[in-house]
Amino acid sequence: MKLLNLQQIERHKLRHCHLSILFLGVLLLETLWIIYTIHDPGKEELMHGFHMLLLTVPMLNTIFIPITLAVTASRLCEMEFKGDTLKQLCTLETLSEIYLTKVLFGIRYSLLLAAAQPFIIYFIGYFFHFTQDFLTEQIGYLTLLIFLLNITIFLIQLLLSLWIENQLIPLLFGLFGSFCGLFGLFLPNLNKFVLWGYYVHLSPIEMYWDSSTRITTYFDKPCNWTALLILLVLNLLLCLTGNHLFCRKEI
Amino acid sequence: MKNKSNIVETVGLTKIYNHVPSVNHIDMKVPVGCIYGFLGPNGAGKSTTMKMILNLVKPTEGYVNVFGTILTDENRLDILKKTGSLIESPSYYGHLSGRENLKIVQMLKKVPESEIEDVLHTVRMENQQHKKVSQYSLGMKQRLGLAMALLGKPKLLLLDEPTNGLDPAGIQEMRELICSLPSRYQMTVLISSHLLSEIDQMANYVGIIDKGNLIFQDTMEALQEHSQKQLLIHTLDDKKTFSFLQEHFRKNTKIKIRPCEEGILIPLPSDDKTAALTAALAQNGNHILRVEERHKTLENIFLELTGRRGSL
Repeated sequence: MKLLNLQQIERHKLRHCHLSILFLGVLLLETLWIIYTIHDPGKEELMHGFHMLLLTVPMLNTIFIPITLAVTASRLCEMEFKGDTLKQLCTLETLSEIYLTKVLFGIRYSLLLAAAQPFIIYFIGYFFHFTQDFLTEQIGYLTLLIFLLNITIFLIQLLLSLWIENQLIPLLFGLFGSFCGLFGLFLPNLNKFVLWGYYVHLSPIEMYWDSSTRITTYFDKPCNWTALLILLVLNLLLCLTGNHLFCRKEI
Repeated sequence: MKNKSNIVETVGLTKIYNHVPSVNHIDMKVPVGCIYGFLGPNGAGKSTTMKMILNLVKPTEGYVNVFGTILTDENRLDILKKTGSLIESPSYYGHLSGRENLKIVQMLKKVPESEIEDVLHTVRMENQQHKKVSQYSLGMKQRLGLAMALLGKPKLLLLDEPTNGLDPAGIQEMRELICSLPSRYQMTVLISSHLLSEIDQMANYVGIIDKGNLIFQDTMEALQEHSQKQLLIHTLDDKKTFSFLQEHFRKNTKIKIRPCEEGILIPLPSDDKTAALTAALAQNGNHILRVEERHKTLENIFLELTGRRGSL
C-alpha cells in the first residue's frame, strides 16, 4: 500500500518531464526504421518476414534501448540531486523505499518497451502482408527476453546514476554499452561477454548470409529459457545489491 | 537521565570523519517551546549535529533523544513525522511549481491538502505558488523550504542557517516568521547560524559549538553577559589603574573588571558614568592613553569561552 502511494508520488514528481514521449518516440523510431529497411519486400522476404523482424528488432533494441534506459535512470536520479531533495525525503521515507520506488518505475518503463515489441512486429507484418505465420512462441520469448534484459540494464544504470552525481558519466556509460553491443555483433565470440549484445545473442533466430549466392538463410534456435532464468536471478541480485549500497549512503 | 521538559537531548553525540571529530561528545538539551539558537562559525559542526538529530547521518558515538524517545532506524520515521526541517539549502524540484512541490511533501506526510493553503499563507507565497521553482529567487526558495517544513504542523522545527543568502529585508521577514512560530503553532524551533546578531534577535536559548565541541549552552541572558559592550581603558600604568578600579567598584560585585593585553576591560557604563570614571582616574594620577568602546565579536566570545571552557 505504501509503495503504491510512493509510486503515485513519484509519478507526480515526473510531471513535465515527458518521459513517456521519450519511450513513444523510441518505439516510433524503431517502427519507422524497420519500415524503411524493409521498403519493398520481395516474395522470399514476405515468406521469412517474421524471421527477419526477430533479428532486426533486437538489433535496433541494442542501439536504442540502453541509451533510453540510461536517460530514464538519469532523469529519475537527477531531479533528486539537482534539488538536493534526498535530505528532505529521508526524513519522510526510508532510503530503501526511495530506491525501490525508482526500481518499480524502471520496471514499468522496461515493460512498456518490451510489451510494445510484439505489437510493432504484428503491425509491420500486417502492413507488408507477410505470408509467414506469426511466430507466437519465438515472439513471446523475445518479448520476455527484452523485458528482463531491459531491467538488468536499467538496474545497472540506476546504480550508476544514484552513486555518481554528474549524470554525464552514467549516460556515457549507457552510450558506450550500446556501441559495445552493436559492434559485438560483428565479433560473435566476444558478443557473449557483452551484456548489451544479448538482445541479439539470445534471439531465437540466427541468420547466415552467403556472400557468393547472396542468399540469406534463417535458422530457428531453441528458446534459451535457462538464460532468461539467469537474467531473472541476476536482476534480483542487482536489485538487492543496489538497495544495500544505496541504504549505506550518508546524506 | 531524560528530562521530560527537553524536546531534544543528545548524549555524547560524536561524529568522526577520517579520524577527525567533526562533532565531539556533545550533550545538547533543547527545552520544549523555546527557540534554540545553535551558534558556531562555519565548519564548527552545526549542520552535522542537526543531520544526526534527523538521523540523516549516523553518529560514531552517542545517541539522540527526540520527544523522549531514543532515535533508532526502526522508529525514526514515526518520530520525524512530527518534525520539519530545512537543512543547509532548501530542497525542491525545479521543474515543478511551488504548489506541486508542497503537494509532494503533503502526500508523504499524509496531511490534508488544505494545509498547503495554510502554509502558503504563512510564508506569504500565494501569488508565486504556480510558478516553477527554478524561476524563484533565493528568498522565495527559502520561503518554500520553510513552507515544506511547516506542513503537518510539526512540534519540532530544525532550521539550518535559514537566512543564508537573503537580503536584509528577506532576513527580517524570515526572522519575524520564525519568532512567531512557537506562539502560533506551539512549536519548538532549533535554528543554527554563524551570526550572533541574528540569534540574538530570535533565540531565547543558546548553544555555541566550536570545532565540534559544545562550549556554551544556556539562556540568551547568560550569553548576553558575555557579549555585552565593554569599555577599554589603557593608561600608563594599567596595574595601578586595575587596583584603583577594583576599589572603585568594590561595592558593585556584578561589575567584572578584566585586564587584557591592551588595557583593562569593564562593562560599558552609561555616558555620565564614563565621564565620572575618567575624571576619577585622571584625579588619581592614572594617565589615560585611551578610552575605547568595545563590542565583543563572536570570535572574542569564542576565545573567551574557549579560555573559560574548563570552568563551565
